[in-house]
Amino acid sequence: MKPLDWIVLLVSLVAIVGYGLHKSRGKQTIRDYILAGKTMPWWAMGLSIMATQASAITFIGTTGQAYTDGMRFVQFYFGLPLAMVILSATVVPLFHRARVVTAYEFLEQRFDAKTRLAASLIFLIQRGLGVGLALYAPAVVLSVIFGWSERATVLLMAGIVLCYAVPGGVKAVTWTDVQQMMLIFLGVFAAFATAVLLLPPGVRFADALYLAGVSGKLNAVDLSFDLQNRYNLWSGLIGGMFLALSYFGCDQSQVQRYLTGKSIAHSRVSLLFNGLVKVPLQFFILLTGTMVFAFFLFEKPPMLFNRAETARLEQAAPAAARAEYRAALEQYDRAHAERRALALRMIETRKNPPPGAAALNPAELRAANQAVQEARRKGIEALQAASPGASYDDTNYIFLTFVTRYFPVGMVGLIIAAIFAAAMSTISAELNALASTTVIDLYRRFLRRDAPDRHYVVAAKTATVFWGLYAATFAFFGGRLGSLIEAVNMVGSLFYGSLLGVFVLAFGVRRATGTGAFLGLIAGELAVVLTSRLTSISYLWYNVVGCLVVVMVGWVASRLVGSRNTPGAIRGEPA
Amino acid sequence: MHTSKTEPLEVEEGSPPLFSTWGRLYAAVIGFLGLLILLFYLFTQAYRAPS
Repeated sequence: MKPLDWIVLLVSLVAIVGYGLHKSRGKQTIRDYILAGKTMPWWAMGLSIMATQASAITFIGTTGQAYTDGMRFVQFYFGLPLAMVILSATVVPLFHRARVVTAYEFLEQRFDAKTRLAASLIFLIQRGLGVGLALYAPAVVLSVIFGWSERATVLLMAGIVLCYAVPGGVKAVTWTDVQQMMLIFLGVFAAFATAVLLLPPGVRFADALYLAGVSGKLNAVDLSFDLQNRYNLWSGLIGGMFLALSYFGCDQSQVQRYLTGKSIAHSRVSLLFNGLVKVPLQFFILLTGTMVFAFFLFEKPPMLFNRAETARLEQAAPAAARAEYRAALEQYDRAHAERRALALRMIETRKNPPPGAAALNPAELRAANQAVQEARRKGIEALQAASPGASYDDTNYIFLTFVTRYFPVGMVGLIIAAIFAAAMSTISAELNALASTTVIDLYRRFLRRDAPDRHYVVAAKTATVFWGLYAATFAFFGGRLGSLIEAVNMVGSLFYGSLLGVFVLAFGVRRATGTGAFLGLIAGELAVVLTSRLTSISYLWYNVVGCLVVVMVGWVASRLVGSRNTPGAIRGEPA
Repeated sequence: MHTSKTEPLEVEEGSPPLFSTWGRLYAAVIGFLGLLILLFYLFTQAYRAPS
């Protein structure tokens, strides 16, 4: 990074933190600290909801995913607007009228303490692992790309977040989220515009789209129904809707955002705003990735994007693996040169079709792409031969390689600031939510029921620091965790559906009892674990399976086993 | 424990922006999603690689 990039990055970070602290100054009660005294307008909550969901890896990984896999990932978000409508119509007014501070507090009003405790613990385990990963993943990518110390990057991010999240609580988190989401929008549009402007002379945006389309990258909608296909219209609409219902309806890191609303209408509109903007935004980010692909048809990208891995191979691998890698590299150079020439011919033929000559067959470009992929595959095999058992995935490095090599000075700083913003907005909201659940659902409920308000504010600040240190510790040892990282990614899918099922019982099944919901939760978890172990269906469907099993078993168990039931809470009457 | 003593018992509902009822606003959001899917489908078809 050049000095101007550093200036852009530092000014952005200081301005964001300063603004958040400025907006959150003043005396605080525990409801101020966790719910901002219910004073937030819809647009601030809406941007905060989006910023919380958009992690750094969403930003840099999604563009990389479009580069390797095309735009089909956009379908993952198709169920989100449906979920926003359902939540606005059902959950939002109920949470507001029940006057809960956390989502899990509602479960005790409706069912009993054990259901609340189980749901809170599930959230703390799942989100606790998630916040560590949200810190670790961008730190490792930035450290490889820029040669920064991984631990220093982790400490910098965690330190900045704690600077405003601890003293300012949810108000500081929400107002910084607003700034961070604006920065992310700016970064996305700047990246897209720069990627288009960087196309070689004579190659127009329409040509780039044509080449990306011929290469199968513009596959935004797939109508086929296949349970094993991760992203198609149906998995996106149904599985994606269940996932979004779980995430936005049962995960305190999102529920807390819209519970800060000054009225039910403001909370509803904040969710609907997310429903309107999220899908086009993801489409745009993915389209940027396809422009990166089109750009690299003409400009040779590195065969493998993770420089740290290739440097390790070149320095320390056995001679045979190095020779294998060099052979793959030569094959890659030839394959890329042939593909480049072919792409240029196709563009030329499109512009000036030679009279009487047959048009170039698009299958030729697909074959050329396969030749490039084949060379890449051999390179990866050489890497893996040097370190057996290691998996290699450089999707998260593609976009940043493109940015750092080709973007003009100043723009690099802007993109890195947007990536920092995306990371910090997610981490701060998650720390905030972890602290509120720890204090409200565990500490105040089970350990210290009647302390002064000030005591709980101090406890919440202490809990935020604790979870921040925990996340940094997780990130410090992230590199040694290996396959655990993949397991962490799976955890959300394993728990979300069942948690949603418990809330569906709470909101929609009048006769559901606490014991019934608890037994349903256990059955749902078992069903999800068995589904993930015994079948090969895509993970988005786990949310559907978990939710349906919890509701069915919970309903039957509620009929068979009696327990305390307070239907008044479901109408929002004080319990 | 659950309810702050200082907060009013009534929760402000508020009315939807732009539309007269919440149902119409929800329909508009779902309609917009349908339109986006249709446009993305047409986009996919327009740039689909011929087999």
